Amino acid sequence: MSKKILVVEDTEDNRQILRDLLGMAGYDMVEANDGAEGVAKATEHRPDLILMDIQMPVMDGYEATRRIKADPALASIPVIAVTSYALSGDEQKARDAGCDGYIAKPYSPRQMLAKVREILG
Amino acid sequence: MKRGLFLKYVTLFVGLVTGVLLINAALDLYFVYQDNRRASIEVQREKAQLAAHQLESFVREIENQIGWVAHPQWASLPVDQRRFDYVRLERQVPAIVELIQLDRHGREQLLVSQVDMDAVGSGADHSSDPAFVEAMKNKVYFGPVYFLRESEPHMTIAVAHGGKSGVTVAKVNLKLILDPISQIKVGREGNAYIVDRLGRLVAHPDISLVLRGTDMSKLAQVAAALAAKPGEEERPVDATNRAGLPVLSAHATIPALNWLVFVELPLSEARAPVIATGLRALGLLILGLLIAALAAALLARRMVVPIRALQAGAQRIGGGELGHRLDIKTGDELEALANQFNNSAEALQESYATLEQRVEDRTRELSESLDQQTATAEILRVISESPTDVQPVLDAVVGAALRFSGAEDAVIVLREGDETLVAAHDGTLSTPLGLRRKVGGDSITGRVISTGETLHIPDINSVDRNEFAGSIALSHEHGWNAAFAVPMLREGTAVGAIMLRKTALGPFSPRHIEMAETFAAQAVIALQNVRLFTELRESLEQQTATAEILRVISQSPTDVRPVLDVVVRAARRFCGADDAMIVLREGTEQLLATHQGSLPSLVGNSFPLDRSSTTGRATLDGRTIHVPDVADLDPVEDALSIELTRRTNVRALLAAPMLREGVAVGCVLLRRPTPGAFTPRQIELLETFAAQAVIAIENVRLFTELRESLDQQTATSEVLGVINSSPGNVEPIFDAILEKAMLLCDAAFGLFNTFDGTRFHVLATRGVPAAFAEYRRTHPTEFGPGTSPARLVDGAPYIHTIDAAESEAYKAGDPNRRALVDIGGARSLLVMSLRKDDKLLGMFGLYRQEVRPFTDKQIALLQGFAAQAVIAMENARLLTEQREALEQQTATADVLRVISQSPTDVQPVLMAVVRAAVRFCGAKDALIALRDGDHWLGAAHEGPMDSPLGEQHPLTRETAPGRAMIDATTIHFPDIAELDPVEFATARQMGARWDFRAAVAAPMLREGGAIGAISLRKPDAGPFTTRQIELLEAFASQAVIAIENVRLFTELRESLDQQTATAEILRVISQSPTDVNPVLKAVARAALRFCGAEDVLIALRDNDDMLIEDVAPDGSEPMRRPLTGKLTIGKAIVEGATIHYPDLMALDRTEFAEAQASAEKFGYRSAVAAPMLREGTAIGSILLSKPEAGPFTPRQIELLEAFAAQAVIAIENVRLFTEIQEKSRQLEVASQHKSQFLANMSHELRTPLNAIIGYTEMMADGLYGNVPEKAQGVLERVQSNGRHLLGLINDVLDLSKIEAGQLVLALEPYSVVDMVATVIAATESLARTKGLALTSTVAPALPRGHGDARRLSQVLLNLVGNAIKFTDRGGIEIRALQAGDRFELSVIDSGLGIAPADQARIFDEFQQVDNTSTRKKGGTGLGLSISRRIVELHGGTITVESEVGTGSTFKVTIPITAVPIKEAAQ
Repeated sequence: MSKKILVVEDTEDNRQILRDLLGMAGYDMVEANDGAEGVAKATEHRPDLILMDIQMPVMDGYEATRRIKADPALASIPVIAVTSYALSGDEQKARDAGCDGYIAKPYSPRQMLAKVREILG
Repeated sequence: MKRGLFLKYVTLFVGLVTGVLLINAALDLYFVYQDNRRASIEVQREKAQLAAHQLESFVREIENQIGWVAHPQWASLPVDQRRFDYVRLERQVPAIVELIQLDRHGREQLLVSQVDMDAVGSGADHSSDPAFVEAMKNKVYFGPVYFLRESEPHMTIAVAHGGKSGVTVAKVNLKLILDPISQIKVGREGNAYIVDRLGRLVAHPDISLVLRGTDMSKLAQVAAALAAKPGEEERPVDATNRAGLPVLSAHATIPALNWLVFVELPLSEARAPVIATGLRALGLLILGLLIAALAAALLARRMVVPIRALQAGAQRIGGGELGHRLDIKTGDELEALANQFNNSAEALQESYATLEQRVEDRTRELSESLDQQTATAEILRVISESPTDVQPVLDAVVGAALRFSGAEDAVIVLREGDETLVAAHDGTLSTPLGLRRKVGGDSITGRVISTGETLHIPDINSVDRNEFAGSIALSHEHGWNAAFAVPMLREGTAVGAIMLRKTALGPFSPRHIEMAETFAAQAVIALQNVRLFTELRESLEQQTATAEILRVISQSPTDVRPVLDVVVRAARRFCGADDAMIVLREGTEQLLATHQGSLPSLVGNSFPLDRSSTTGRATLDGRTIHVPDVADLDPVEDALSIELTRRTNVRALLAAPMLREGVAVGCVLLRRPTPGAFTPRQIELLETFAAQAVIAIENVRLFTELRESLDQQTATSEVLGVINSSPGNVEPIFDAILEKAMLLCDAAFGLFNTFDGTRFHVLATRGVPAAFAEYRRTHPTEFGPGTSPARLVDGAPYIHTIDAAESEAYKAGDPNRRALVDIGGARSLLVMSLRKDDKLLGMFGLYRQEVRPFTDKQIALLQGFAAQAVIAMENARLLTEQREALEQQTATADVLRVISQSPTDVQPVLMAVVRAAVRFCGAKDALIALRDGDHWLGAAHEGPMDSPLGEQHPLTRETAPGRAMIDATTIHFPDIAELDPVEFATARQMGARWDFRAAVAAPMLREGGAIGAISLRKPDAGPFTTRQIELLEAFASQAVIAIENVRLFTELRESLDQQTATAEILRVISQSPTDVNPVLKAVARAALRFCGAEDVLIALRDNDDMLIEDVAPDGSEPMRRPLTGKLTIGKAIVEGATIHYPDLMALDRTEFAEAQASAEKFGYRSAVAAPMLREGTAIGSILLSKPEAGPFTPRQIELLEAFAAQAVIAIENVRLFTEIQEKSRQLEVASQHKSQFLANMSHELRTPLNAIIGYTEMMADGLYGNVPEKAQGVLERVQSNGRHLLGLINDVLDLSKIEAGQLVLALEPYSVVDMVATVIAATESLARTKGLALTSTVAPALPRGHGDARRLSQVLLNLVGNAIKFTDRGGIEIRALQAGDRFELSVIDSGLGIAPADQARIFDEFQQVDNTSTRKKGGTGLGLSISRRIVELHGGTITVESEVGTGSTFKVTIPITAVPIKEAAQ
C-alpha cells in the first residue's frame, strides 16, 4: 500500500506542484485548503505525513499543528511546516507549535521530495 | 525545432495508436482465447458430468435392483424362490452376469451365473472377501473394475441384506456403459476417459491402455482431481495428455464409485479460433497505423505553432523583457503554460518595479529618519555641550542641514545689527566665511533675514537681475544654480538664516525645506542659549570687574593709577573694544593718562582741551561721544580727532566723560581698528566705568589734599614756632598786646574782635567795665552806621575818635555807641583794623574814659601792634584750619572706611556721616533725610534734638531739608526766627518744636537730582561757616557714594541672585526636556522670590481655554477655565501684553467685576501678569499678586517678563523634545510596520515564487514530460531569475533585520582557517567556471576568534563572490592575518576595479558601481551593505582600495574577540 500524505496548503498552484510531485513519486495525497480542514482530514485519513503551510485563512498552520499534536491519535504523525515566513524565529515558532520539520518556501521540489522520502523511508 | 518537434509528435501519435491497437488486439486475443478455453472446458465438463451421471445411474440402478432381493426375509425364502429371483434379476438387468448369495457368515448359499454353473448351498467361504466385509459393514460395496476375456470390464457390487442376514454379490459387466463413455468425442482430437480412485484407467478409447491398467495419476489434471476434496472448485492446472501435449481438460466425479470422468481436448485444437482472430487484428493494426500517421502529421503541425510562440515569448521574458506577454489561444495546457509564464513575468516585473522601489524608498526613508533623529540629537548634544560657544552648534547645524537637504552646500548667516555675517559653512562650494553685508540687500539670505520668510530659488538665473544682483554674482563666483534659505526666527524676527545651495538646477523638495526649518529652529535655540549664557557670564564678569575696581579703589586711596589701569582693563574687556585709554583734564590741556590695547597710543602726551577732539568734546560737554566710523567726522570741526585717529589707525571711537559734580575730570576712551557701532549696553557699561574712575580720582584727590594739608600744616607750624612759642593759643598773645598797648597809650580798656565777614566777635578784652562787657555779651553783632566797626568794614585802616559822645553815631542814637559811651564810659578811642591782604580780619580798639586824643606816635605804635596781631591771628587761623582740615579728612576717611566696610548696608555709613557732621560742622544735631516720592523721612540722626527716624514728612520748600532736596542746592538758615513766617512756616514750627535756631541743609545729589539731604541744626542763631557748609556738602556727596555703593552692591547681589535663578531655571529646563511642570515651578519660585509677590499663578493657553497650572509642590491637576480677558491672567494672554494693576479694587466696578471677584476670592489686591510670548503670540501668562495694594516696580515687572520668556523657552524646548520623541515613536512604529510589511511581503513574494521555482524545476526535471532543449534553457533562465529574486528578498530581509536591530550575533569560537576553507570550497567551482585562480594565504598559528562565524563567512563569501563576479582574468586571493588584537581578512582581485568616487558608495544600500556593466553581473547591490553592517556589529571595519582596471582589495578588520555592538537605532 502506498503511503498517504496530507497537504495543507491554501494556494492551488502549490498544491498542484505537490500533487504532481508526490503523485509521480507514488504517494497518495490528501488535500486540505486551510488549517481547520487540515485537522479534519488528518483525523479522517490518518496520513503518514502532513505538509503544513503556515500562513492560511480560517486557521493558520501553527494552530492546526498544535491541534493535531494535541490529539493522541494523531500526535505521532510527523508534521513538516512549509512556510514562506523566512524571518528568524519562524522556524522556532514552527517547532514550538510541534512541527517536526521545516521547509522554507520557495522550496526545490527535488529537496521537498528528498525530505519526504527521508521521513517516510 | 519545427522538424524535431514535428517528428516527435508524429512518432508519438503513431506510437500511441500502434500501442492502442496492439493492446486492443492483444486483449482481444487474450479474451477470445480465454472465452474459447472456458467454453471448451465447459463443454468438456458437461460431457464428463453427463458420462459420470450415466455411470452413476447405472450402478445405482443395479444397486437398487439388487436391493429388491436384499431384505432380511429374502434369505430365508426357499432356495428356488431365491434362485428365481436371481434369474429374474439377471434378466431384468442384463449387465449382471452373476449373483451370489452369501449367508451371514460369508458362506455361499446360492450362485446364479450366466457364465458358470449355478450352485446352491456350496457353502464356499467368502467371509474374507472384500465384497462381503465391506457390504456387511457399509451395506453396499462397489468393487474395482476387472477385465474378463481381456476386454470385458467387470465389477463386483455387493449389497447387504437387512438384519445382517447376508449379502448378495453381483458381478456386473460394465462394457455396455463404459464403451459409450470412452467413445465420447470432443472436437476432432478430443477424448474422454475414466479413472478410478487410485488413478488407474477404467475406460479409455484405447482399450489397450485400460487393459494395461495404466496409471493416469501421473497426469497433473488427474492428480489434481484426485487430490481435490469433494465439492471443491476445479483448479486450473497445466493439463497434458499422455503424450505430453497440452490439453484442455475437464472432469466430473462419480461419487458412488469415487471415479473420475475426464474429457480432454488438445490445446492446439482449442486455439485455432484465437489465431484466426489474431490475424484479423493484425490487419486492423496496419490499417490503424496508416490512419494514425496521417492524423499525427496534422496534429503535430497544429501544436508546433503555439509552442514556437511560447518559446519565443519565454526567450524574450527570460532575456529580461519582463513587459512581454505570451499570446497563445489554444485553450489548452499550452495556453495555461503561456499564462503561467505571463504571470511569472508579471510577478517578476511587479517585484522588480515595486519591490526594489519600495524597499529602497522605505530603507531610504528609515535611514533618513534615523539620521535626522541622530542629527537632531547630535545638535541638541552639541547645544548642551556648548553653552557658551555658538560656533560648534552652527557647525553641527550646517553639517546636518547639508546631509538632509539634498544640497551640496550649507551656510549659516547670522544677523548682527543691520549687518549679516556668514557664520558657518559646510559643503563643497566656496564660501566667504566671515563676510559681512547689509541686511535686506540683494542677496537671498539678506532678503530672508529681513523678511523672516523662507525663500526658495530653483534657478538663480531666472530671478530678477536687479533684485538679486548680489546672489547672482555669488552664484557665478561659487558655482551654484539653485538655493533656498530659511530664516532662523526668534520671536518672529530673523536672527539669521540657513541657506542651502546646489549646482544642479531645480527645486528642493518641501521635505528638505521643512527639515532646514527644523534645523533653523534648533540653531535659534542654540543661539538663545548661548546668548543667555553669555549674558549671564558677561554680567557676572562685569559685576566681578566692578567689584574688582571697587577693591582696587579701596586699596589705592592715594594712587589713582592702579584704579585707572583696572578701569581701562575692564572697559577693554567688557565694552567690545580692543583698546581703551583714560584721558585726564589738566587745565586747558588733556593728558593721555593710561592705556591698554593693541592700537598705538600716545600715552603721556598732552593735547589742547578743546572741542576738536572726541575726548575733548566728551570732557568739555560732559556727555558721551560715540563715533561709529571716524570717516564720518567733520574735517574742520573734528580736526584733532581725525589727525589722532589717522596716526593710530583707529576707525571707531567711544568716549565717556568722568563726571564730578557735573564737571568732567576727563574721559574714558574706547577705540577700534574697524568701523562699527558700540551697543547701548557697551556704552552704558563704559559710563559706569567712567563713574567709578571718578570715584577713584576723587578719593585720591581727597587723600592727596589731606596729605598736602598735613604737609602745609607742618610747615606753618614751624614758622609760627619762630614767631611765637605757643602758636596754638592766640589769646595770651592778644592779652599781652592789649596790656602793652594800653600801658603805652594810656587807655582805660581794650578789645580784640575778629571779623567773619559780617560780624565781629570778641576775641580778647582787658579792663572792660563789667557792665559794658555784659552788654557786649548779650548784643554781640550790633553796630550801626558811622560806628568804628562799620567804618572799618568800609575800608578805613583805623578810626581815631576824639570824643565818642560827640560823634555822629552817638548823636544818631546808635545803641552800640551809646552803650560804649554811656555804659563803658569811653570818650576817646582808637580802633585799628586788622587786615591781611585787604581782608578785614578783625579790629583792635583802645578806649580812654576821658577826652584825650591819641598822639601820632601812639597811633603808629598801635599800628605796629595791629600788624603783629594780624600775624598772630593769621597763624592761629592757619593752625585752626589745619587742625580742622585734619579732623575733617579723618572724618572723611572714617566715612570712607565705613563705606568700604558696609557695602551692603547704608545705615552705618549714614550714621558715620551724621556723627562726623555734628563733630566737624559746628552743629549740635545732624539729620539725614531721604527723599521718598513726595515725602522725606529721617534716615540717620545724631544729636539731642528729638527727631524720630522713619517718620514721614511732606516734601515742601518750607524746611531746609525739603528746600535743599527740591532745589538741589544747599540751604542755610542762620536764624530761623528771622525767616519769613509764611514762606517758612514749617521750618519755624520745627525749630520751635525741637528747639533750634540755626540750620543748614546740603542736598545729596545723584545725577543732578537730590535723593536726600543732610541738615545741621544748632540751638543758637548764627551762621555756619563756609567751611562747615563745604564740609557738609562733602559729607552729603559721601553719603551719596555710600548709598550708590550699597545700591550697586544690592543690584549686584540681586543681579547675581537673578542670574542664579535664571541659571537654575535653565538648569531645570535642561533637566526637564519632556516635562514643562518642573520648569514652571522653578519659574514660579523665582518669580515669587525676586518680584516681591506673595502668590504666583501660571496659565497655559489651550485653544479657547486656559489651563491654570498648580505650581504648588503637591501638584494637583491644572484647572481648566475659558480663556477670557476679564481675568487679569487671561487678559495678559489675550492682549499679549503685560497687565499691571497696582490696586484692583480701585478699578472700575463694572468693567473689572470678574477680576475683582477673583482677587477677593484669592485674597489679593495688586497683581501683575506677564504674557509668555512665542513668536508674538501668548501661549500663557504668569500672574503675581500681593494682598496689599501697591505697584510692582518696573524692575520686578521686567524680571517677571524675563521669567515668562524663560518659561516660553522651556515650553518650546519641551515641545521640541516632545516632537522629537513623537518622531522617534513614529519611527519606531514605522520600523515595526516595516518589519510587518517585510514579513508580509516576504510571504506574498515567496508564495508565487514557490510556484515559479517549483513548476520550472519540475518541468526541467521532466516531470511533465520531455521539455524541448531550447525550452529547457528558458526554464533555467526562469529558475535563475526566480533564484535571483529570492536572493534579493533574502538580502532585503537581512538588511532590514540589521536595521531593525533584530540581527543578533551568535558569538562563538571560530577558526579563520576553517572559515577561509569553507568559503573557498563554496566558490571554487564558480571561479573555475570563469577560469580564475582562487588562492588563499592564511598566516600560520592564527588564534581562534570569537564572533558570529556564520555571518562572518557570509561576509567573506560575499566579497569572494563579488570578486569572482567582477573579475574576468587573473585570479582572486584571500589573505588572513593577525594585526594586534584584530584579524585582517583581505580579498584581492584582479578585476575591473572601482572608481574612487564609487568606493565610498558601494557599501550603501542599492549601490553598485557602474550600473550598466554590473547589471550583467547580477547581484542585488545589498551584499556589501549587509557585509558592512555585520562587520560593524562585530566592532570591525570594512574598507576597499581599488584602482580602475587593476583590481580591488576589500579588507575586513575585526576584533579577534568581538563584543557585540548595539545598533544606534535601538
